[in-house]
Amino acid sequence: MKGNELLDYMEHVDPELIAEAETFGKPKKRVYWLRWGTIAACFVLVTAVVLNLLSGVGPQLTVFGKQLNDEPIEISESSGYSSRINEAQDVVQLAIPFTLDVGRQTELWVSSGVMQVFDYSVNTLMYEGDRFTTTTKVSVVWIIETADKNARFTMSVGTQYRVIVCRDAERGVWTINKDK
Amino acid sequence: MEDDKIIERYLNRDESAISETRDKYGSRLRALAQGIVADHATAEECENDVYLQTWDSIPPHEPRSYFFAFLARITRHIALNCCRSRGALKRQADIAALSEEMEQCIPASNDTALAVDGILLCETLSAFLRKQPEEKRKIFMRRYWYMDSIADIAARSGMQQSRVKTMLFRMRNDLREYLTGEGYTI
Repeated sequence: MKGNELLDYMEHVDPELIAEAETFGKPKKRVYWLRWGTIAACFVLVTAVVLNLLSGVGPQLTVFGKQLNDEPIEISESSGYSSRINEAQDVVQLAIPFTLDVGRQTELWVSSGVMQVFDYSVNTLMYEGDRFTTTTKVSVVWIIETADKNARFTMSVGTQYRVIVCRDAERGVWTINKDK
Repeated sequence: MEDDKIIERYLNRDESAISETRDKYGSRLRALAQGIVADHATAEECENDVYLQTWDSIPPHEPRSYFFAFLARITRHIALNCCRSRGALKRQADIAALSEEMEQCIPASNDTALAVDGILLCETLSAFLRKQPEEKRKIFMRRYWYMDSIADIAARSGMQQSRVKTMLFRMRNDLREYLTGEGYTI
């Protein structure tokens, strides 16, 4: 028998072996744009992270389903949110629910009132008081009681910003906004 | 379409079986032929011949569970014959080199040509390959069944060409010893 005959006989090897070898490590095409694309994507990502840190965006705070920013959001029962306003003759009670999503360890503390902090995923009460440190996303209810309608309450969110709750005397409503 | 249904069409002499085969396996068969003949036009010719031969082969064959391997086997056969019969094809020298490599697997080679049952030999060969580690087995098949160049196999496996050559050299020696142990003295 000659080598070429054996090469021909190879034809009859087990079909499973033929099928198995067909997909063996498809030749890799060199995709030059992929390397540069990856480098560019990394550069964009790093730039975005740096800009994010420099801009001090930091923890994301959502009140009444809205991202909190400099624009005051009205706290009212009539708006359909779950905040409570009990404005009797002498005492105002506000219960402001919000979620806080932090990327790193962040301390919260309030100038007045108490915070009830809940685990975001299972909604169990984790803490009640005026100062709390978290590393994960949490749900918080900030409860304030005051007899002073002109009072101004603050919550510090790490060193990034403060949240201000005050009364808008012209409109006669309580509002919440972010103050860098 | 599932292989089983395509085979049924062949058995019923329904010519749509050919177009279904082309749709499902045409590109893979053309790639296989191209790998052997290294010529686009010849590879297309081979592919068309494969459909014709498949039409003639089913029935009596009914390769329901190994239809691709069946088609690939016909493609290889036709492409290899093309390489040998057409002197103009550049691959002719490569095929001669592959034959020489295969010759090294033949135990106790002498001038006395004894008839060997090729099918039985291939069963022994299949048994030998099944005993090999998966990667080695696939590399052997890529070289001697699909007739890939060493460079292509190195690219597929991510190995250095020298390592592929060494691996194949050792496998050829192992195969020769295995065939000797199985009583093949050709």
